[in-house]
Amino acid sequence: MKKRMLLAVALVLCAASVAIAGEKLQVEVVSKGFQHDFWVQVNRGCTAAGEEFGANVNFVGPASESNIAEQIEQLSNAVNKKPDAICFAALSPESSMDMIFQARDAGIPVITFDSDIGGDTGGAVKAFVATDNKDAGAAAATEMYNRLKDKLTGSDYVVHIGVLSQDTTSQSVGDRTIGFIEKMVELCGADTTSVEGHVKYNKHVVGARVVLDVGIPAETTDSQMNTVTQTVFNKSNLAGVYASNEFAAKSMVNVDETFQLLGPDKVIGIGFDSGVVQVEAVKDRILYGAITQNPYMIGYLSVKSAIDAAKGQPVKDIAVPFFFYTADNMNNPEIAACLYE
Amino acid sequence: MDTNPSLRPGQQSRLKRMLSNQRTVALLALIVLFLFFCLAGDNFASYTTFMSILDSSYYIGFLAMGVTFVIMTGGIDLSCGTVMVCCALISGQLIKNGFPVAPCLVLCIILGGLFGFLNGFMVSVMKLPAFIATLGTMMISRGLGSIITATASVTFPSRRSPDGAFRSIFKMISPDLPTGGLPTGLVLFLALAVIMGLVLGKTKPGRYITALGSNKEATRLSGINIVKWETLAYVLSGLFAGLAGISYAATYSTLLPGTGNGFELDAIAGTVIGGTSLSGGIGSISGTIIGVFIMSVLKTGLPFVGLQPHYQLLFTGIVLVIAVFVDVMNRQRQKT
Repeated sequence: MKKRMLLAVALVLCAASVAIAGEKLQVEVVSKGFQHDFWVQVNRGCTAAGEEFGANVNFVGPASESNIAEQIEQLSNAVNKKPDAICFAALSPESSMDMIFQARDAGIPVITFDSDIGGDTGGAVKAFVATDNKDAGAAAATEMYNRLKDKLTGSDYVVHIGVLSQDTTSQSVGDRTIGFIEKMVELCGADTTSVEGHVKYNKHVVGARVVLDVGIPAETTDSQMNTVTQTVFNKSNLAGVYASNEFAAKSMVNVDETFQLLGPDKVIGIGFDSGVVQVEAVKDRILYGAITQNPYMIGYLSVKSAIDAAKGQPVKDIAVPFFFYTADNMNNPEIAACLYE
Repeated sequence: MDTNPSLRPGQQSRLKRMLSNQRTVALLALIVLFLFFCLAGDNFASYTTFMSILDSSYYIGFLAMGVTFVIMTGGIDLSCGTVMVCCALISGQLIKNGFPVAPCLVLCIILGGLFGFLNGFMVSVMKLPAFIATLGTMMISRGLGSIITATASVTFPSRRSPDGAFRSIFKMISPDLPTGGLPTGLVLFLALAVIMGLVLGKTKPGRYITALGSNKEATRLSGINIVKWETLAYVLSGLFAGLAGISYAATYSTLLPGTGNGFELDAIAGTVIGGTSLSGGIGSISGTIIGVFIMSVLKTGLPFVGLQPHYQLLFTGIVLVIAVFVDVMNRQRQKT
């Protein structure tokens, strides 16, 4: 008798939990992992949106940002779970295409965030939520140009500007790099500005007044990145250095410990994102400033869009605003909320 | 240890004898490479470049010193790279949680030693092949680092904070000192190299470890406790991996979980370029140090002659193959 009662209670509980779970939407988020604190903030935003709009959010990511295979497996698991929507930040757009088509065939709406997939996804991707990385890179170029205008236009020698980038595969990092380069070339004059150092971006101009030296490591390790940074720091008449993500910016600050080139009246360094090393360097005016995205909002708006898409409401691409921060404005509440350690 | 102890003086000309020693060849190659970059590269011959070479040599150098002992026994340690990252992640996480820095750094080295002991136990007592045992430890340490940090990166205290004082062990920077700082790490590095060179070449443990690599069975039959000495070699490799972790944190500030794979192969490549035989019984710490510097001079120097960084891998591979080929040729000549 007792046993039967227990069984009945258990059955009721099961039914109840199924009913509750049935009401709640399930959103699977496949991120780039937690290696960089950026993603911790994105996760907070995702969770907040899930709580606000009543959805279960499951946030996963590979152990490292070079683990493309692991991320594809996670995406594959996410699709197989048949959730109501998927948020996805691609490490490698090409590698994820098959799984994206599979999601479309299963009728699962996909919201891409941070890094887009690009190309024709056959309507699988409903919206893309991210910083406009090209714009952000261009903003960094404008800030640097304004600071260096006299040197860039009035020098009777060739002026060098370093551009540091972690890799050439990620869409977000690539956009920030090309955004900076294109804007800087436009500001300095296309016929007098040469881009050198990496085959992907090279555009040699004979008799250039300004040379952009692009440095990209063979593999994403600290030691390889530092070697590339050192090469840029060794250019004579170096006026400015731009680093297009936290990893590259950290390398710039680390290498400067040896070179001691960066500073308000010396070489102008501009970084991207936050992280302890970079934020401290901006505070101490070693770096002139950095662009910060709004990771919390990226996470929040991605999950919100995913929930809307799952409910069949129309969604569209969102460009999440970014800020340029320096030692002078980094304590503004709006900006301070975007910085992380 | 020379590669050809059987040769008596006078059998060959002095020069020929020198060239038949891989370590000497490696040293010559290092000098030639360095001079080449000094002449061909813009700005290569500068103090800051010298400092950069050192910065990128310490952690691989420490790993290689430790792994030399293991390779001398005829074994291999595939785990030292990930153990290095794992130890640094754990101690960095503790520092982040408010524990004092000094004991955490000591813990970093001890943890390395424990991983080494685990390897030694599996190889010498459980009789697992070294390749498999240390492959397991590689995965364990990599997983453990990710679990303990919840895959988030760990940043060590910056140089400007009082807790960052440990960085001065490897490089002293202050406005009163020359730009680039003082290479304090070089003193530690060379001191340890000399001590470990003596341990390997002149002491009982070193001789037993070498004997193990030459002929394990004969060593065992002559009454030597091979379990003890084989385990010691792995423990040394682990301890040095822990120390390498500290030097890595001092140089690069942030450690990422999930990384560390590949560092062990750099360390093994440096060891082999320096004349240590992968079959065991032959090798030296001084050779290993030379091998490590060949790789870091290549890495730092190639961009100065206008080559992109991926060429470093290509050239290091070529150097590795040539170095071992020279060794093989010499040994064949000795046999005939």
